[in-house]
Amino acid sequence: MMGKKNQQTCLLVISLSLIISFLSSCAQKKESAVLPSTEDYPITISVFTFQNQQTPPEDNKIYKWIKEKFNVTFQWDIAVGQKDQKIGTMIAAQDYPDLLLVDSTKFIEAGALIPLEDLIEKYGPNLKKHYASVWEKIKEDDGHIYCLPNWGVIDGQYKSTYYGDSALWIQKDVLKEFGYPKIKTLDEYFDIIAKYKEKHPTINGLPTIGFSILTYDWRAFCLINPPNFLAGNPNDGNVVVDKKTFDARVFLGLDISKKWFKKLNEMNAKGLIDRSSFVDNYDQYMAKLSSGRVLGVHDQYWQFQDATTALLNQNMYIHSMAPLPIVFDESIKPWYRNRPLPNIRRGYGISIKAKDPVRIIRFLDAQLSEEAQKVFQWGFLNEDYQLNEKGVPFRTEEQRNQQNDPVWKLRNKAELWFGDAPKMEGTFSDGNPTSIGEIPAEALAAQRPEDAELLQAYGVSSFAELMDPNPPENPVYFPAWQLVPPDGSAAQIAWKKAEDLYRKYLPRIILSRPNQFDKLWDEYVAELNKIGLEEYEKFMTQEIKKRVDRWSPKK
Amino acid sequence: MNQNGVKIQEKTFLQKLKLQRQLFYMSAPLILYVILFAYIPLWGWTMAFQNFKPARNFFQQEWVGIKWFLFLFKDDNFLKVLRNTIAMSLINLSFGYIGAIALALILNEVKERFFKRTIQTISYLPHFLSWVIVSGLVASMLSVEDGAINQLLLSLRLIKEPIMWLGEPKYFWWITGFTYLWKEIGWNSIIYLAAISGIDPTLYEVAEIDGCGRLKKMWYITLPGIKSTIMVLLIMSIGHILDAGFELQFLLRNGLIQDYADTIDIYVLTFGLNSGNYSLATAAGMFKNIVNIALIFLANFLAKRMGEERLI
Repeated sequence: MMGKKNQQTCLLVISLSLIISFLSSCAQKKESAVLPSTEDYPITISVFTFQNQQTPPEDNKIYKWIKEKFNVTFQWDIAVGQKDQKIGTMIAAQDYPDLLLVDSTKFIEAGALIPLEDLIEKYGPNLKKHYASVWEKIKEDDGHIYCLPNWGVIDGQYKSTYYGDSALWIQKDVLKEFGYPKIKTLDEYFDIIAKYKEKHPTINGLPTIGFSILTYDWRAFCLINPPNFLAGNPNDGNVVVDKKTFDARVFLGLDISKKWFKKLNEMNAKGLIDRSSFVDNYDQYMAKLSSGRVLGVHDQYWQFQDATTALLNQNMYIHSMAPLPIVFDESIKPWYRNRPLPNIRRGYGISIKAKDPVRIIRFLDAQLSEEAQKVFQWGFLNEDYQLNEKGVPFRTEEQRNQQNDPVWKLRNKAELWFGDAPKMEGTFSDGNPTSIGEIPAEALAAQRPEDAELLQAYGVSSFAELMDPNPPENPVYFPAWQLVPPDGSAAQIAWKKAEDLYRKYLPRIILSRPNQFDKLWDEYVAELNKIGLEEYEKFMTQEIKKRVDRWSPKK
Repeated sequence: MNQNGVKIQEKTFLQKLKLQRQLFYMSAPLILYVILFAYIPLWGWTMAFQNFKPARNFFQQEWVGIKWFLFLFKDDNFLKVLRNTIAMSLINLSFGYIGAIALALILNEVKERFFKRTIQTISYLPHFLSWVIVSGLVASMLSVEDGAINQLLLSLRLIKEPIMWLGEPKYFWWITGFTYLWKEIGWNSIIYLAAISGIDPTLYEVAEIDGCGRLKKMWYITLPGIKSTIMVLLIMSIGHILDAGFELQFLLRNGLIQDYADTIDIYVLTFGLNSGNYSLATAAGMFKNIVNIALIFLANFLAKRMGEERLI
């Protein structure tokens, strides 16, 4: 029971807080009318992300700067591990933070996001300019824009030396050991790995691992994707797309897959495959790669680049990985590298629970200004970089090393925010590249001697060039991996079943005795034929054709 | 609750309530807690009969009757997880029971107090570890690369090459069984030790005079003495037969063993939260709870029939 006194206090508190909030809202209105948008009224923006990163410490200098400059503080909600589970929970509870990191149609279907195009028209001149070239592409079927692509929207000129995509990666020391041979085919790739492993059965006292495969959760695409690349197709996710009819076919059970898994099966018999791949989680995979004893993987670089940093810090840089454009045989032209493309339906959207979408859009717009982008990407002048007499930025040795130090970065860079926020890529208006590492002199200075030797041996200037000096024009619909069937659709259920099947069968197929391979493979294909994958193919074909219709250059 | 045998004159409910208000104040928070967290969420079961879409409100949902239940019983996957759940649960139950009772009996025989306390502490410490840590321990013990179990077996020359413990479906149920046993044995035995200490010591003296040895005393005095405790706990755990656990299986599962590792809870999670089929997941969860409640009543009824201690 509440005493009389308590009731009075309670009333007092309530009325006080009402008065305060009323006053403050008045104050806010006044301010916003008078002040320019860069000195906007304070706001705390809650953000949902599934980037595999720590919450930044309080004293991080960039977040401090954001607070001072834009009056914005972040409140992070970081999903660790199983992101779909977290997303499902949020949807079921209809409980969303202000900004949601989108990577599928889940939030859109659940009606969790608000349309952004009108807000951008009204309050986001920078955003409008930045996304102008892809404006139509980032609209959903209903004609609304729900999320702002995090990567791949280019301003000015784009020339990247960084290679972050798929490849069959090989340890640099393997190439060095055998005098940097030209390796093009799958057979050559595994031969050299086998030769190296024979010569060096242990690395730093631990057994050498020939080939490791990441099979954990949604990252398991490393298990099923390789055949498409080996057959010379671009990164179209789970399907092979016919270049003329645009028909999509799932390649899980096709001959190209059989060829790849047959090879893996043979390699397992030779003891080259990491058996514990199939029971390891992502952390264990990273730990192995960071120990420098894995000779080869198929993966996308962004998934394991932390391992490179870890090896660098242990002075074992030579044991980090280099990408190779491997194909089945010499007649096939590799298509690993593609031209930059907007990362559609991946990036932040504003949730229906956001109290002040206009303020958030104003911030998203303001942080896209060149000044802010330079702070995010370059840091502060004379602290993280200097300008030479021509106005080109450069870093000292110490500053360069800091950029590779995870502890320093946690306090001095805003990677968690910058990673998925709308950002400039390409060049700034002063002609400098958005990334200091892309400035030729800087790239040269930052290059490790191990890399310089390797690149020189192959006669190229960067790993991107090593993969493909001049990638072909992207197909109009490209890439099919961005297309994900909506929850509950027949296509999604079929794909879910396929996932269950390949998770179960592929490890067994790889680990089986070679004489059992054909039997198991036939069993797997027979099971795949039973689950209605046509539905998935139908969905993909339809979506691809939709893109072709909408995006083809108008005659 | 408050019937102390004295015949109270006919009183209205409100009068009684007033008389016993202190008791009411004491229990009110708990009753509120149960209502709030155990009964109100039951409203969510309505989802099992709908084609639930989060974007719609309750009145806009489409009602589909028992469609999802029918789907469940036609789904091979569900039948598989049902089998796994029951199998793992039975293994855990029997291991847990026999292990805890045996440990309690043995500890009871230890007369050296310091030794007894030490064993007790060591054996119940794992109870306080979270499943994430336990699963990490299990995974590294059983690792095919440098796991302790493989190393031991290799050095004893019992096996020629390391076994992939977590990659073979046939081992998985036993791995969970032993892990549960290790983690919970000490904790579960505490209640039996408490029950044992309640047994009248004169009974032992009498038995001794009658010429009973240690084993006979255990069999004729200790075990019957804690029989009622055993029965109550058994009834309670039978109600949890469809809860084979979730964390351990979820953390240790992988493609190779998923057919044997997935439990109903994992099914609910993958269908409900991961792929957004909330209705199907609710139906599966609801099925689980109904079976559990039915089992409790059954066990209770059987216990009554056999003239044993009952829960309800």
